[in-house]
Order: sequence, then C-alpha cells, then structure tokens
Amino acid sequence: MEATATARHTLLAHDLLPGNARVEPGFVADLRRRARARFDALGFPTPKMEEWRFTNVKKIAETPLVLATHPAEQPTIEPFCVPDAHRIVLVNGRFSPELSATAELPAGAVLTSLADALEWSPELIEPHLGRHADIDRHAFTALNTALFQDGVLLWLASGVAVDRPIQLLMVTTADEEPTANFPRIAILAGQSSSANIVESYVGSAEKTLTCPVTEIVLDANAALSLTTTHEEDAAANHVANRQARLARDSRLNCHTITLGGGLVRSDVNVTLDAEGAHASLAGLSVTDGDQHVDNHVRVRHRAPRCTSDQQYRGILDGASRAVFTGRIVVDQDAQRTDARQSNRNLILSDVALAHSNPQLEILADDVRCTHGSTVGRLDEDALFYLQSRGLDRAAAESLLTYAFASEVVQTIEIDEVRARVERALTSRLPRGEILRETA
Amino acid sequence: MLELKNLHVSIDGNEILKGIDLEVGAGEVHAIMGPNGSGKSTLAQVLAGREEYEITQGEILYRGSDLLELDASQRAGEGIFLAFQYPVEIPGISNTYFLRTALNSVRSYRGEPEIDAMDFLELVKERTELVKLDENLLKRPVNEGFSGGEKKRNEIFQMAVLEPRLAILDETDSGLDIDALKIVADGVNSLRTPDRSFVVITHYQRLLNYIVPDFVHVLKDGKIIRSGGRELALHLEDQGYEWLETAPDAPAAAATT
Repeated sequence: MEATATARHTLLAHDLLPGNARVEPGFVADLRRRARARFDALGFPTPKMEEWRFTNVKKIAETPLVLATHPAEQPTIEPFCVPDAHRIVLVNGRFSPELSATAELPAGAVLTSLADALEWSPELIEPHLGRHADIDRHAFTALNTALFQDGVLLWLASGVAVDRPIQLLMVTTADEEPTANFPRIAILAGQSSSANIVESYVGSAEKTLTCPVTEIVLDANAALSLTTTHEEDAAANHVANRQARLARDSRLNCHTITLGGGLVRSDVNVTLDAEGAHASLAGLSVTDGDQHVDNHVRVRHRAPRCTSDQQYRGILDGASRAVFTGRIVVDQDAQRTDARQSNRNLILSDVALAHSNPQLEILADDVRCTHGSTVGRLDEDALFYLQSRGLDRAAAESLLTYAFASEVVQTIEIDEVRARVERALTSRLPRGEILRETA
Repeated sequence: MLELKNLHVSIDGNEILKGIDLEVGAGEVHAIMGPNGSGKSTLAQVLAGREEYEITQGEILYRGSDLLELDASQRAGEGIFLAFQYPVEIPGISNTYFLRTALNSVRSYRGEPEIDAMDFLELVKERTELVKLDENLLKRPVNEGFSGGEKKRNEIFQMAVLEPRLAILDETDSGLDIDALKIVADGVNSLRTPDRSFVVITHYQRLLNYIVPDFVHVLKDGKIIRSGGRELALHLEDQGYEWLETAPDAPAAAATT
C-alpha cells in the first residue's frame, strides 16, 4: 500500500490525549499510539487501492484540518430530535450533557459519554475497544482511534428491552477553519437484550470531516436495529466505519440513509460468529449536485445456518456518484448459509453515475447466495401507465421515484424516523406534495 | 364521441396503422378484432397518448376537438381510459393510494376539489363489489404479485372508479378463464350508460358473447378491412381470419357507422 504525499497531516500535530486532558487507562493510550503509528504507515488511501478505487479522498487529505472543539454556543437541535427518544448528543465529537436526555432509560441500560465510561468503568470497554474495528488496514479507523475525543457507550444488560427509540445525535458546527471530529461509539448488547437506535448526523460546514467508528457487539439472542441518517450539508465530508460482531441467534438490522453530505463513505462490516445469527443491511442514498456516496458492505458468515440480506438502493440526480461494494464471505464451516445481496440504482440525469461491485467469496458447499445489481432509469411503461390514469409527467416521475425508495424506507423500524425520511424524500421530489399521504 | 380520419401511425420508421377511419358515437360499444400484429394494441396506445408513436397522417377528434394536442394525463382528465393488455406492476405504492392520486389528478384537471377521504373509501368499497375484487388487493402494491385475472379485474375496477367517457379495453379477455371473463364482462356491462362509449379490442370472439357490441371492425395489417354488426364476429369465430381473404362476398356490412 502506498501513502499519499501528505504523510504528515496537520491532525497528527495534535496530542494523543483528549482535549480535556483527563487521564486515560493505559490500554487506551497504548491503542492510540499503535493507531497513530499505523496511520503514519498507511497514510490516506488513494484510488489505486482496490477498496478505494471509486472514491478519492484527496480533498480530505489536502485540507489542513484541526480537531473540532466545543462551539461557543450550543447548537439548536430541536429540528433533529426524534420525539420520545432517549437521546445522547455529541457536538463536534464531544459529549453535550446539557442537550442529552438519558434519565428515563430502564435499569440495566447505560447510555453515556465514552470518555466518562473509560474513566469510571474501563473494564466494560477494554474487551471491545479497538478489538473489532480494524486499524491495520483502514486508515480512517486508525485516525479515529488515535484522535477520538469522546463518543458514546450504549450498554444493555442481559434481557433488557428498551421500548422507546434511542437517538445518537451527532451535530457538527461551523468554525473559522475546517475541522475534523472523530466520534467513537461502542454498542454492547447483552444476551436477549433489544433496542431500536437511530444515529443522526446533522449540521456541519464546508470541508468538515466527520469520521466516526462504531463497534457493535451482540451477545446471544440480542436484537438491535440501527438506522443511520446522513443529513449533513452538501459540502461536508464523512467517512464512517461500523463493525459488528453477532453471537448465536442474534439479529442486527441496519439502515444507512444518505440524504446529505458531499463525500460520504460508509463501511459496514458484519461478522456472523455463531449459528442462527441474522443481519439485514439496507441502504438508501438520494443524491444530487456533485454528491459522492460510497457504501462498502462486507458480511462474513463464520458459522452454519446464519442468514444475511443486503439491500442497497441509490437515486442519483445531477452529476452525483454512487458506489456500492458488497462482499459476502462464507467460511468453509458456514454450511446452510443463506445470503442475499441486491443493489439497484435509479439514474435521473444524463451525467449521474453508479458503480456496483458485488463480490462473493464462498468456501462452503451447502449454501444459498444470491446477488443482483441494476442501474437504470424510470420505466417508460410504468410512466405511461400512471399518466394514462391522469398523473402529469412530473407527478408520475415523482411517484415512481418515491416507490423505488419506499421499498427500503418501509423497513425502517422506528415510525418517527421512517416518517422523517419520507418527508425528506418527498421534499426533494418535483411533485412530492402528491405523496404526503401515502397509504 | 370519437372520430378517426385516415389515421397513419409509425414507430421507429415502421408504419403500423395505414389509414384508419372509425367513428364511435356516444353510448356505443365497438369491437375491434384482428389477428396478432394487425395493429390493435398500437391503436389502443395511440388513443391513450403513448408518445413513442408517430402520427404521420390523419387526425383524431374526441368530442369535436383534436385529441392529438393532448398528452396522456390530459386525455385521462378528458375522460379517456385505457384498460391495459399488460397492466404494469408498481412495487412500493399501494393500490389504494395510487387510485386516490389518479382520481384526484383527473378531478383537479376538471377543476373539481379533491375527494374527501371518507367518500373515497365508500366509492372504493362500492366499486370493488362491482368486479368482486378482493379488498386485500387494495392494500398491496399496484399489481405486484397479482394473478393475471386479478390484474385485469383491477383495470376494470380502476375504470369503475375513474368513470371515463370513453373506455378502451385492450385484450382484457386474453388469458382469462371463463369465470374471470364473466366477472370482467359483468363489470363492464354495469358501467354501460347512454353517454359512455367503449372500444373493445380483442383477439377472441368469446368476449363478445358477454360484452355485446353494437359494431364489429376487423383490423388487418393496419387497416380496417371489414365492419359490421355483431354477426361479423360470429362468422370470424366459425371461419377464422383467413375467411376474410377467401370470401369477399361474405355477409358483412362494408361501411363503418
């Protein structure tokens, strides 16, 4: 692997301690040092690397970024809050206790600042931090690991079911110069626990980099849904890595909904570690202008009788780009695997471009794996059908575009989040108003 | 209601319709029969406003005005309805939502207010009974996973809700078993009124036992080669389309209406 010319990025001038200079456990300090050395060796990825072939991060590498700090004023978060949710808010990658609302969580559920948790209960986190997200090959994960200032710990004891949604609200605010923030998130779900989580990325400003790393561990029979929404400004950059490990009979349902952001690279890596685990990974990106969205999904089946489903869709207008790389790995022992993958792209302009890269690596012989990808325009037969029923051309196009997205949107568990995504979608369609009461 | 004068239609440079003359009066049912490839479906699509077809000659008058000036959605607003030979599946949109959007679109075209939600539900309930459509199909995405018969019934159901002035049925009978055919035909017959006209396109005479036409036209190679009353369809059923070639003196009226 080769490093870019900017081997010494401005960010590396920072101390490897959190800004508030509290003392961290030794294992964290060690991890940061290793991660930093690793980033020094890797440098920012270039399009010559297979994993980054269609996404050039030059504009991130060449921007002199500084670590984001607390803003002078608290941002307004009301427009982004999911009603009735337990909520933790990070502003510029730092915990904001004033904006958070975690008091009503049931006993056995902990939702708190990762920095606080590292101080108070490092033994909860040590077995997981940096153990799942790979710093060896992923430069941005190394960068996050070296530089994270704070983040979120969500810990669920065995058998705890959180009935209301949990919102992780990540706000980035503008500063005088371009900033970077590195939220670090650990979601540790005990045996037979369950929760519905929404992770919202909002705000931000020109050339900002938001670079979260999330480690998710599901114990036996746990069930989590995690919906990530990108609603940042179109000039913001976002590179995320989510790594999940699923124990026996556990179930993970992930949605990655990308509506905003200039360059959004989102990696989701799931390892199905024991029999009966299931992962559903869905994505929808709706892009315009020169937005660039790259979804990188990897599911590894390590044990028999696990099931996985990847369903990613892109709606591309303007000169936007969408990249999907979906990899299914089935280990030799993972017999009776059922793995599916589908990537469909709807192109609304003459210059938008979608790349779809399905990759299968199957070592077991008794498996069912399906994959398919399409890139196309709205179906003229369907448009004519709708027009012949009285819908004008723009209304017919809006309806079909909505319908295309709807198959992913309808599977979002949290009602308020689904409604919010629907509103965001219809507000971007030329005749979105006809869709306001979709039954 | 509808008047076609010397209509010539091409697609990709191939002439499909080669001079059609047809007049459909208010309340009349006209059957258009013909072998495969004769241009029947092209005629249906052109009437409904499909833009891929090029009108190279002739004109279409609808209620005295030039129909070709209007696009497909405007024609729907003016009361033209095409029951598709192959209804399109639209995953992600419920049948009910689709129908209410369609109804409100034509109402808006006519300057009428949107239909009230309760009134709409009542209308839907009443009209589903007309074609014995399973109410569960209303909640499902448009035509997705419907059987052939369910799709055709759904077309007639949409027609019943949209209440067109001129309904064109494009091979609505193809692929239906006799029970489904009777249900569809009963639905159509119950919608016959003195001012609503039908153009029924079919390959098989069987449909015309249930939807009795006032006039029958035979289309072949882009032209209407024979027009007559109901008895023309019966002859065709007995003799096949070849009979038209070999028996020029067969009992069929030469003139259109």
